[in-house]
Amino acid sequence: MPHISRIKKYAAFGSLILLTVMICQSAFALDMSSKRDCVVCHVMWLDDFRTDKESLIDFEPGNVLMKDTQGVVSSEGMCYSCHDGYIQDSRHITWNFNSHPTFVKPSNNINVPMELPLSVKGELYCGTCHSAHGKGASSHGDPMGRTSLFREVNVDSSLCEKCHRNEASYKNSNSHPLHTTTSLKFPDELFEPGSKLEINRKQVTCQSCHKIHGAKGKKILIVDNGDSSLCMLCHKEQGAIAETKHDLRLTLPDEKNVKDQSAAESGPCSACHTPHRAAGKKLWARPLKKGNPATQLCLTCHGEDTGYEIKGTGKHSHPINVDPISKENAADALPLFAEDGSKSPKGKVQCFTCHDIHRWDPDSADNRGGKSVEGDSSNSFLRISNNFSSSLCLKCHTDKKQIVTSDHNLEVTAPKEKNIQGVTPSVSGPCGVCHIPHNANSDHLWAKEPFGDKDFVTQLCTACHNENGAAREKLLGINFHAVDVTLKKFNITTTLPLYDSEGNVIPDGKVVCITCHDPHVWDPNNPIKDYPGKNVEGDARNSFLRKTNSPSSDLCKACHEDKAFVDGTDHDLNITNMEAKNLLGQTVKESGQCGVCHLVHNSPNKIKLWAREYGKISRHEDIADALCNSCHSKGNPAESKIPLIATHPEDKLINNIMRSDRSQIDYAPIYDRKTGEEVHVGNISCPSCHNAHQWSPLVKSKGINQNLEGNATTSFLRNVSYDNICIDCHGLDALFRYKYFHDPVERVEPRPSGVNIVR
Amino acid sequence: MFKNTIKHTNVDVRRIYIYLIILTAFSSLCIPANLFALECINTKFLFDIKPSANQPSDMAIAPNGDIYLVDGVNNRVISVDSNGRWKFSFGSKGSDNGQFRIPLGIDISDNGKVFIADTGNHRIQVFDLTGKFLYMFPVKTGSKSKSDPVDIVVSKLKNYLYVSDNDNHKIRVYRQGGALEFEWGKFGENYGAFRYPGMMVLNDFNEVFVVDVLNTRVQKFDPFGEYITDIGSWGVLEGSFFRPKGVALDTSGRIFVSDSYMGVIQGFTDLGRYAGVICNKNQKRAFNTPVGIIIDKDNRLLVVEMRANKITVLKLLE
Repeated sequence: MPHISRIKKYAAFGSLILLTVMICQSAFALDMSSKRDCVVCHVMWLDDFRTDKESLIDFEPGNVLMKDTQGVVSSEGMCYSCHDGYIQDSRHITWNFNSHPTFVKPSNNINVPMELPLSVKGELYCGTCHSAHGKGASSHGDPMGRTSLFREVNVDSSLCEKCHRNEASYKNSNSHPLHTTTSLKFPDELFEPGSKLEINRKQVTCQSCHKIHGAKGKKILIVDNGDSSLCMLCHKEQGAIAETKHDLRLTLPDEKNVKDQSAAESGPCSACHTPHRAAGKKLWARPLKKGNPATQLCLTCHGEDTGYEIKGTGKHSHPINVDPISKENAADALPLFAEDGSKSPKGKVQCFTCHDIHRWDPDSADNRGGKSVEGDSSNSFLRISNNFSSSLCLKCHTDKKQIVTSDHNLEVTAPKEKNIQGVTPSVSGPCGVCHIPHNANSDHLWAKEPFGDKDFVTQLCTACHNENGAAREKLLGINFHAVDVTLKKFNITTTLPLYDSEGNVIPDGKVVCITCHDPHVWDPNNPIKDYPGKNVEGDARNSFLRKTNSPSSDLCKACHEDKAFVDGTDHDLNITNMEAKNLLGQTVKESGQCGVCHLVHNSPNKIKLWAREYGKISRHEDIADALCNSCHSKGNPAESKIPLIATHPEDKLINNIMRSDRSQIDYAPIYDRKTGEEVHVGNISCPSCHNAHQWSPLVKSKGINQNLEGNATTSFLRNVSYDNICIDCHGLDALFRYKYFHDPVERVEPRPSGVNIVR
Repeated sequence: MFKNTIKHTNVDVRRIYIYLIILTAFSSLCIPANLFALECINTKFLFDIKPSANQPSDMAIAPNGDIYLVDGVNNRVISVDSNGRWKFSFGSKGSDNGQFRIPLGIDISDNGKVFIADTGNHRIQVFDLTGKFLYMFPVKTGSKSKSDPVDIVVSKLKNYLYVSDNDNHKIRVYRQGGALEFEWGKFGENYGAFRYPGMMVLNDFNEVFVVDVLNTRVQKFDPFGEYITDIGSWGVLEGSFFRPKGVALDTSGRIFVSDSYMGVIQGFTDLGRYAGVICNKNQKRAFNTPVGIIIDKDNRLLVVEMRANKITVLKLLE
């Protein structure tokens, strides 16, 4: 019995131990049961793994209780077990198409902050961004960025930017702008595939283009961007690049961008632009060389030594990175660009000023040109069509507008004429006939083959104005105003432009055609309003002259200042004979004052480019006298002013060596009898004593617009009588001889020898 | 005999008892897992059906034996024959008649009407067997919250349509024309309450089996929503669920339940007693996210493996 009682005692003790163990176990289980909601995800916390029974899934030790560390709890399978539609449906988002990479180590470009944990292997996993306990966790989401069980709030992609700091710092990394206000309108199509803008829907965030889960495109873009369709959703206008020559899929399909993507892979936009870590401004994705600023990105392909078999700009190309001719006009009409490539009204002329490199045809987005189509001034990625009226050129070169309504618009006057590109005026536009912006013949973008052997500018003009040229009916003739001469040796200064041998304006340059002519402006004062269409006959008021030459010959006077005193004198035919005509049949109104006597072009007379028939001269007279006689003779405009006698005795050769300085008042030129050229020994002729351009030798001024009767101190005399060439031989006697020079009665006949004397 | 032995050997019986008791006590703590093998319901793999679906969810079998698969992420329904050969598909993304927005559930009536729980459009759409749209009706909640119909079953009793409203934790019962008859359920863990009701199946008595996902059980109701019993419990041991999703009955009334997280399908007797896990040659068969399941008249178990984008067809051997 004692055995039995002991046994009972031990049994009771054993039972007590067993009960204690069971109670402990069940207490532990009870504690775990209270965590059922936690175990919805934290499956490894289940008591079932602590029983002797086989579980339907294996226990996975490690990291079970470690906060913020990858374990089964944050495995993809656990997430999917609820997000398969039977609690929340995220299949079409999270497990559809492409997602942010997981279970990979972050690249060197990524800086994952401490608050976003990596797995024990240092890899990204679901829990890096998501946590049911995170600051950003919210079952239904809200505008403050709490949604999808984010570990941190994600306001306007702030969660993305915690790791992708380089991209967030877009200015430093040449990445697509973020959080900046843009003028672009975001289309509804952007949001259909899941794009998100900032809360105010005006600014771009990471999630505007990228979708962390369910992204249809590579690089977790919201849509496949292989054809740049995503870019083009916002950048619609630039979408016109597709199928043009600038769509490198057509023209350089194997060429790779800085991301080592061929054009065929990257799509038309990404061939040249990459949204992150670009080579330069404008998100440039092509290799940049030193000296390729943001404003000259075109040169990365169109430069001289790129090796591409595509069009270069040539040695002679329109200047870039220069101020526009008129900032006011240009900024309104065409964009100017600052140094960083951004549009700025204070910027400079760059390639993009004239070219919209995304659109082949400015008038038609549908016309893409294609790979093999040769461009012309109506397309070629120009911002404005340049044919017909050269509208693009004239946006800046407004001072050249008149060319369109002038004979220099070859579309009207020489429609078959071709420039060096073989293009007719109707294709090239009026400017393109003579100038092409790239691959031109010269710095002045000359589009014609120079002609002749004169100075450079003359060669340009004679490219048309030659016997076989387009302007063969408008030649210079045998006798024309001197060109390719400097004014210095004549001691002349001018307000007109003078040119060097390259055609550049310099102060000490030479007189060339465009010193007097502006080939772009028919009438310097009055633009043609009713252009008749072809071959207007010009006169001194127009004819592409830089200044009008009628009624006052302002153009001539710009150089020949000392001849300007003819105004208002008897030799100003506006005063004395308005009906008189020169050899071209022009009255003084048409020819201007100077044109009455001088023809700048096509004068039949070499001497002084005389514009009248030489007057008859007597046996004793010189050819120089014939100029004066052309008016001062019977039947001519100055027939009332014919001197009775105007000859010096022959054989009395006069030396004017001391009086040959034009600038001095005692200047008394002597002319060769036959050629009319100035010499130092010869006879005197009319111009020896008379300066036809100045009424009085003592008064350097214009006339008083009256037909005056002269005397010994006026009458266009070069000098007063007491200091003229006569006294060199006649001494004081000259005073008398001078007075009676034109008076055959008072004048003594010459004696065979010795000095003439008055009777 | 035992007593005598003790006597004769003069062994300290008391000490033996103590050892036994202590051993028993500690053995309950120290017995290793996997000591006991799993109960198996063996199957034989027949073939896979891979109709290029994207995370399909549910399926139904038409009177002619064709299989209709809800390919919800692609917003369509795919029809294959009983051997898995492609027949046709219908539906596209949208909210017009005949279009879907992430549908999840399907059932087909004996007279050949295809009922689709058009989840994202908060409605039921009805088609004929060729995919021709017949009619639709909205699933309304009576409040501001939107409905979330994830499954539908057709009853022979009064042609009732049972619709599980997942987010609203209710079963809503409609006439086939779309008139709401009655509804039951609320959020909770008590009998008759739900935490995210999902797929359903009816037995021959028109009793309704509802997978109660987060409550990790299958509740059984009479045709009018009166609670009868429930099957399964919370856990990862045999007879327990972690993420139950699909439910199906065989001809003998056995109840099969898929668990998408554990990747298993377990069987229960018609009385709810655990019968075993689906095995292949006595080894637990692992499925990749099994969801919708069905057993056809040939005793084939068809399993939609959502992330594997396929239907696995097995022969139930027992």
